[in-house]
Amino acid sequence: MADAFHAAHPDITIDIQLTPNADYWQYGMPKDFDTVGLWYNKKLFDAAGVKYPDATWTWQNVIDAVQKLTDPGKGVWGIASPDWTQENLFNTILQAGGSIIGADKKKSGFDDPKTLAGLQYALDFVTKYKVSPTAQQMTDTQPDQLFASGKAAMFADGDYDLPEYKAAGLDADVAPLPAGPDGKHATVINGLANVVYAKTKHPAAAWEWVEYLGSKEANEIQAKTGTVIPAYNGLSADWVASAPQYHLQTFIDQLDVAVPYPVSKNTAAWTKPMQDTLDQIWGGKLDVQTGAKQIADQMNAALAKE
Amino acid sequence: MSAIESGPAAAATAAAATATAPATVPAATPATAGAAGPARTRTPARRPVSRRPRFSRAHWREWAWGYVMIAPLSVGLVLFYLWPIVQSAYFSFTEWGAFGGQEWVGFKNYSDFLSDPQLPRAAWNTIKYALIILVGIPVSIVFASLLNQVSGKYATLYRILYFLPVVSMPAAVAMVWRWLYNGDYGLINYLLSLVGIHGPHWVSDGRYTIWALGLVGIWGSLGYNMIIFAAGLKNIPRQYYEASALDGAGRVRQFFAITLPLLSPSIFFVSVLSVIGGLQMFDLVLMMLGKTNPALADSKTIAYLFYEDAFVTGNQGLAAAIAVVHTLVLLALTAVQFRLQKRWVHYG
Repeated sequence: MADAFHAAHPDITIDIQLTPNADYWQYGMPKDFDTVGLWYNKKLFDAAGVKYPDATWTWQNVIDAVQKLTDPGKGVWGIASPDWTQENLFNTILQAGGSIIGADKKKSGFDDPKTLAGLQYALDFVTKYKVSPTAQQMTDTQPDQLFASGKAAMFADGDYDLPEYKAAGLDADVAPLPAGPDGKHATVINGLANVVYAKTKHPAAAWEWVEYLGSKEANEIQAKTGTVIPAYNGLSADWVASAPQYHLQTFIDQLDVAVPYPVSKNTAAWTKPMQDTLDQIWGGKLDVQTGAKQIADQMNAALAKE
Repeated sequence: MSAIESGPAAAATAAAATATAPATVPAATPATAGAAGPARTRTPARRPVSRRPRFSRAHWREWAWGYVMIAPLSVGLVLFYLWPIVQSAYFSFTEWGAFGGQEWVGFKNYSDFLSDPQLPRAAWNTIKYALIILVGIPVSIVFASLLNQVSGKYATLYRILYFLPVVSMPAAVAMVWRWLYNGDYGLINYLLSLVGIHGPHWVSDGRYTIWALGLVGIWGSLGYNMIIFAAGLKNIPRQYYEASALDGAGRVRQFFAITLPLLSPSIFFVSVLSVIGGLQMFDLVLMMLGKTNPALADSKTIAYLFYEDAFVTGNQGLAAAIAVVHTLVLLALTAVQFRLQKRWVHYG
């Protein structure tokens, strides 16, 4: 299967080696990729008389803006800062100069003080400045729903939620994520791939389908419907043009500062306890230092088993 | 004969902790199922001996046909219930790799599960939820008694209304209740605000979640319980009420002296199913709480722990161990219920 894959598509095949010392390779037909941007509601910014976010913004600009944007009387929050990892925390951790997982995939980055700073920044919106809904509120009404219904002025979110905001007819736009305290820009990039089960009984049929999904035609469908940024080289312009009311090029431009989504051989074994602990921190039951230490310990234990 | 035989079989299915048990028991004959079940457990060893003559060769053909007739049900039972139970028991002694492959680890999964710091909280949540569901039984009896007094086309209408939650899609039910419970924009908190009460975040605050889910559980099982109780009430002969009325018994006295004792087989049947259903609670936690909920740690049930290990972290061996322990506890609890029922269940 892998040989056929290589022979048919020498240019677009990605070899994914999950750990440096793994004794096997996995192959996938690239489907799409996504980055995260700072979505903002223009109407709420205009009403508060705050300048729109742009590429020059840092954390401090966001902190200043959200306090002006928050209007409890109208039920409007400056930002929605949930304990979501891909959209929020992984990015703030990287902007602070911290890391989620070591380059060798053997050690957690959660005991790094800079990682802690990234968590603290996102949490401060909820607990210190009180400009973000609480964890309870964002559980009952998801942050993307709050943003789509004009209850939150800003929300860091992936390009994949574009269809939701487009459908809501939101007068919004998207800016690059703000730079961290040392001027560091970062976003996680995540790509999906269509794969074939190694022990499938129908390799030929499965391959035909996956091959079609990797074709220009299939990628154009993803692009022109504005579903997601297609993996096929050269088609991202079609995706950007699918919703001219938003500066979608922002998501493509951020590729320069993009960091691969953190994974290891058995990612779910540590992301679940990590999310559980983050839920406790955001729920106010655990302080961020203790929580980060707990995540580091759980993660290191899980990684040691790989 | 075969109808009576299916009674204990269905009861055994229920005892084996299968969610489909209610479907395999004909709803119209709950009393039969309830009555046949205990008879089997009372003399489990002696039964086959007393029946020995029936196994003679003269009847083999009849027996063969009997097995052919029950094949559609029993083959499915073996394939989809018994065999997976055997598999799960085996898996519970293995550890699974992230990309396949199993390794024999003995009792490690069991000791991991029993020493899991989440276990006490999850066990308590599960018990608490089952107890809340049991509160639904008296509520159902009251509603069934009231419904029993309504006649004509309205009786059907009410029956349909109360039964609707039972046939509604659990996911849809969970979605609607999630909206109702919403702390900021939910209907329940809006109504409370009209009388000056600031309602909490029902499904994202650990202090309220189990109660909120329990209410949905009661609401969801009310219709099914009522059908069983309505059938039980219809089986109580009118003469008893007439005779007691002549002796001067009032309605309350009649309820406690006639209705309740004669309804006890139905109550027993419903309470066995409620305990099993309550202790298996999982779907509401997953669908009404969601995955990044600060209250999740306070609201996990045993079945939810199983789900996390089986389908989130890919720890199938540990999940199988949880399933085995859970099933054994359910079996033991059901056995205790069958023992205790002799003291309070009256069979006509």
